[in-house]
Amino acid sequence: MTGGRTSDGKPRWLVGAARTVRSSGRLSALGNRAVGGVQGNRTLVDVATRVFAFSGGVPLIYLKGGVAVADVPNPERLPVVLVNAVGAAVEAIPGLIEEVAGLQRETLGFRPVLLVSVPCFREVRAQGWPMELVVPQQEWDFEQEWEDYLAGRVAMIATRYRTWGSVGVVDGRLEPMGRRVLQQLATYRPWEASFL
Amino acid sequence: MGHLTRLLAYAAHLPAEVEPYVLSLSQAVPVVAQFGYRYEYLPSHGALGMTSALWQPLFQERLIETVGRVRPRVVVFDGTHPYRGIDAAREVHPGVRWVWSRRGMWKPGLNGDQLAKSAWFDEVIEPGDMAAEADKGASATAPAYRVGPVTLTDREDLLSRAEARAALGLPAEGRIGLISLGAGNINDTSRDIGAAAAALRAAGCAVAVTDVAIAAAAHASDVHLVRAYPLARCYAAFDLVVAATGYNSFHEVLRLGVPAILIPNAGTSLDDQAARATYAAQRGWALAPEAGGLDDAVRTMLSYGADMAAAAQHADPGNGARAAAERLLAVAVGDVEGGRV
Repeated sequence: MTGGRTSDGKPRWLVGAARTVRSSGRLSALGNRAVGGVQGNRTLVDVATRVFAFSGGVPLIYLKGGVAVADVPNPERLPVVLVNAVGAAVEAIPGLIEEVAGLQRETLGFRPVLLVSVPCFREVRAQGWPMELVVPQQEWDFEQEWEDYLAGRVAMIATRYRTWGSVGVVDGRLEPMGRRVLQQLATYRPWEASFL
Repeated sequence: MGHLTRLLAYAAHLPAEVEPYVLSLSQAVPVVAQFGYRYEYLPSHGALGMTSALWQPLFQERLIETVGRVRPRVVVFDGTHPYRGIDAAREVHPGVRWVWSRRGMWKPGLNGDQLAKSAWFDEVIEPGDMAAEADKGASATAPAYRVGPVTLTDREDLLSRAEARAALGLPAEGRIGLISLGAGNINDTSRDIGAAAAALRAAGCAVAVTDVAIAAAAHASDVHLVRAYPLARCYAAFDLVVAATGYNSFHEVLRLGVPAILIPNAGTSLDDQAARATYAAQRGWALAPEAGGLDDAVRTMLSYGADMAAAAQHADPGNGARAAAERLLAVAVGDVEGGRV
């Protein structure tokens, strides 16, 4: 059995293929198409997903992780976490960013995407994170309801950035349970979770 | 920033009943709020660290959503490489008219394939270039509606020397030279920024820079950080400007009559900055010294810069932003139906 499988039972060909693909942005992009191309066939979708798009339980994506994880090997495996700070006041943003940055330094276990309704490019750029900016509710004057617009953006972020989780912000701080989940990532490594 | 500045120049010449709305990939986009315009930000693939293959569907999705919600009459794309997704947005929103604001001076032999994307647009407007005679790029002979060189700031917008120095927090007296060459090390005299600073000091000029990091790293105490947008309004504060020759910087210094030493950025992928600098020097509008020639150039410019700047202003055909805005209006009301000039 050891010739065809790794010590934890995974097929060697699959592990090797996955490693090759994940180390290449180009092949990963091809993989996205491959996963789509075999839709309808449960077995092929399963294989293609594991080879091309996932590392353990984490969707793989090349996305900036920030200065705190710059030296982490294979940062594309780190879970992407949406920090939803829509509605947070501009004066709360620096403290929030420092809170998230501190957690990231402690855990070296996630990549934040900050969603805000006030511009804070300079502060976020200093951390090296992606940032999404939405139209603030008080400035909204479109036909669509603002809540639907925001929901659409959150859905888009989940799809395009392949977020592993989402953490809200209350009174300028990470909501407590979300903070605890992020703290788990110091020792819980989703990309090491076995699915094979 | 150059894209935003050109678009703001067009917007400034639109009638009051037209409401400009900005969607930008630039993290400098909040500057448009000071002009009273609303804006949205769409992260570029560079800002996200994402491959362009993964980013393009994101761009397309966001563009389609934004155009559908804002419902503009005209969308103006400023750039030299229209992104995939514009074509899809056009199909989804067929009632919207699309204009490509496409500056010239492409490096010869490059980017010609992009010209086919003119078909995605109802009109192509080319903001003019004072160095257009030296334009050997693929867009030089491509069909477009050509207007004069476009700047956001006009001569009548300039502050006086005293006003400009006060606005920037600069000393009222003494010579000051502005260095606007992008990022770099001001203490390293073997590189452009450091060499320019040394040359200015040798000629008795204080030094002003626009980059926070450059100012923070400066060992000398006579380096002033200047922050304003558009900084061109304050150009009278400076006795001379050492600038790169991107579209906006080049035309701001020449159109606004600032004695200029031009140092092209050789690292651009498409913009032929060297051709602009060489042409301006040949016409006697500015100096474009070779490496090692900055000391002489600064001394020359302090003596004869006003005459050279006047020559540039004499050659200026006037701001093309008004003509561009009028053309945009014509596209909006349907007076232009694929009939490019």
